[in-house]
Amino acid sequence: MGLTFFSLFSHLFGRKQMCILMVGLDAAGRMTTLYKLKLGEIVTTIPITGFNVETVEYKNICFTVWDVDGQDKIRPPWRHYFQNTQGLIFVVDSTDRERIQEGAEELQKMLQEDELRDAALLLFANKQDLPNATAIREMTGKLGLQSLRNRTWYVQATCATQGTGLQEGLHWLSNELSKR
Amino acid sequence: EFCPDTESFFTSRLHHSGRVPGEQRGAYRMAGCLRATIDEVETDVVEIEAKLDKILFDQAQRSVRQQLHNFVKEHRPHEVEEATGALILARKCFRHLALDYVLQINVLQAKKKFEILDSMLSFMHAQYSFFQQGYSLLHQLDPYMKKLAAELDQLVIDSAVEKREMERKHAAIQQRRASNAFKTWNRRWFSIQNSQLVYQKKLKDVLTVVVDDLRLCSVKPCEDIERRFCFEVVSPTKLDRTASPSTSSIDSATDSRERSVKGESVLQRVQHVAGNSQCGDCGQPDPRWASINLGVLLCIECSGVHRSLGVHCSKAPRRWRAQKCQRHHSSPRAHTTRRGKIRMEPVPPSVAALCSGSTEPRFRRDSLFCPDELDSLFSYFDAGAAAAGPRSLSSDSGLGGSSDGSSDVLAFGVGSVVDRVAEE
Repeated sequence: MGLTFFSLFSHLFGRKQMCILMVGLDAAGRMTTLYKLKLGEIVTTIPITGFNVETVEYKNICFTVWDVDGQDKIRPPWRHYFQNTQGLIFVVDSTDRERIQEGAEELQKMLQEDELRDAALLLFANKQDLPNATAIREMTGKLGLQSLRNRTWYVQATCATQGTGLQEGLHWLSNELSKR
Repeated sequence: EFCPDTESFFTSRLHHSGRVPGEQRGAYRMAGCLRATIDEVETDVVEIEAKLDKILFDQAQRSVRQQLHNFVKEHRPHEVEEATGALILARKCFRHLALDYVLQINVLQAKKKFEILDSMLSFMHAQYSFFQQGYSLLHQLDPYMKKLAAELDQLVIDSAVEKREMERKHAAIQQRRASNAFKTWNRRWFSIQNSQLVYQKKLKDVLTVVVDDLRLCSVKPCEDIERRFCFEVVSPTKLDRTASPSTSSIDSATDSRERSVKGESVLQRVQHVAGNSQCGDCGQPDPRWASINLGVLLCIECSGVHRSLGVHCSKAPRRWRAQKCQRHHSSPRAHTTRRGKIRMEPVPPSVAALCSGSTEPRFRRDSLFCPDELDSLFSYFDAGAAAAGPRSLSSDSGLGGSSDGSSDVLAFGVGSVVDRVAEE
């Protein structure tokens, strides 16, 4: 009885823990996104060589966001950290048209990982404030999202330096994950 | 005096109302009719007047003469009485005649009025029917006019569209002429000699230099063209489009594993180039990051700033670190100072660095060719060479460069051997 009440209470008032993995090519704006979410301010970033972990709270959900490099080389060691990853945030630099294809390949590789088979995919089309940014529709096509099977995905236009779109993306993610 | 007035009245009225020539003609005909009627009546009146005058005059003359004759012949009382009676009779007769005359005149006047009114009425009827007909005719014309207006609008729009299209074509042709684009594809034999792209029409033909320095160029495949295996050599001054006959193209160039093994040595070589020993922006020693489009080596902090500028200003991708910085055998500060718009606020270049940069020869970019692009270019030529004869070329040899970093990167035996690539 007490246990039931406790679980109900914790369901209503407690914090839900979510493990989110944030990946993307370098210079896509992952770290800026992360610290904009966490601190609400822009940090001057340098290329990270390891990874960043931060907890971000949004609507009673405590997102633990892992900011890791999308590179092949260093992914295998991190693999066992992501056993119960529920969401995958993929950050793309919308202005870097030459590397969208590279990003698409990285994304496909990530999605083929066994640990991420149930993860909801949130795509941040970042740097939308800059000139020559790729439109969302075009981005969706180029990343091959339409051909994804058994995957819920959502593309959100963001500008990490101004913080636009970040909350909306997390809103979608929390909605999507609370359904489960 | 009445008739000319009416006539002039009608004529002027007709002149006023007359718009269409046909209408005017009709109105003139009407006026002519009217005038004829009036003339007829007038002549009638004159005739009758003359006749009456003559009769009256004759009778009076006769009676007077007779009375005079009687009076002179026999001046007698009964004769006087007779004469008086005759005179009275004659007077009566005269009165009657005068009455008749007046009656006739009145009849004539009345008739004149009727006739004129009648003709006026008929004229008005004619006028009415004429305008009625004109109205109905124009009314029938109305849809046609509307149709015509719509067609006219459409024509105007069409002509505007056509004009724009023609202008566009004209501009496109001008641009095409200006950019010296190919109209037809011709077969040429291409080779690389001393980092120059040259071609000849036949084997013994004279060499024509297409690109002066391949190291300043980049290569990109063109997928949008209908021919297969096309790539563009983008030089600072012009653009060439080439079709390779071979298929083993860029895939072979992306094999970077072997190169990463010797990445460290490449980095050292790159750093050995004059000016590359310091960060291009803040001057810190041992820069290990690079901006590939600006051709500078950077420290990690400055590369972060470069990254935050966005790829349209500076490309500092992570995977270029250390292993693929072949392109930066250059004097970075000289280059950075040329691009004045890249200002690093957190770490502004020191005055000393700027001064030392300005004393160095500017733009001494010995090898600004991006290795990936270079490889993709070479792969085309490799394929051509493989067809020409068996020759062992490791994929690394194109990237090695020499230890001083300033020599020809393309010198993997291409100078002597003519790789054949057909440009169609």
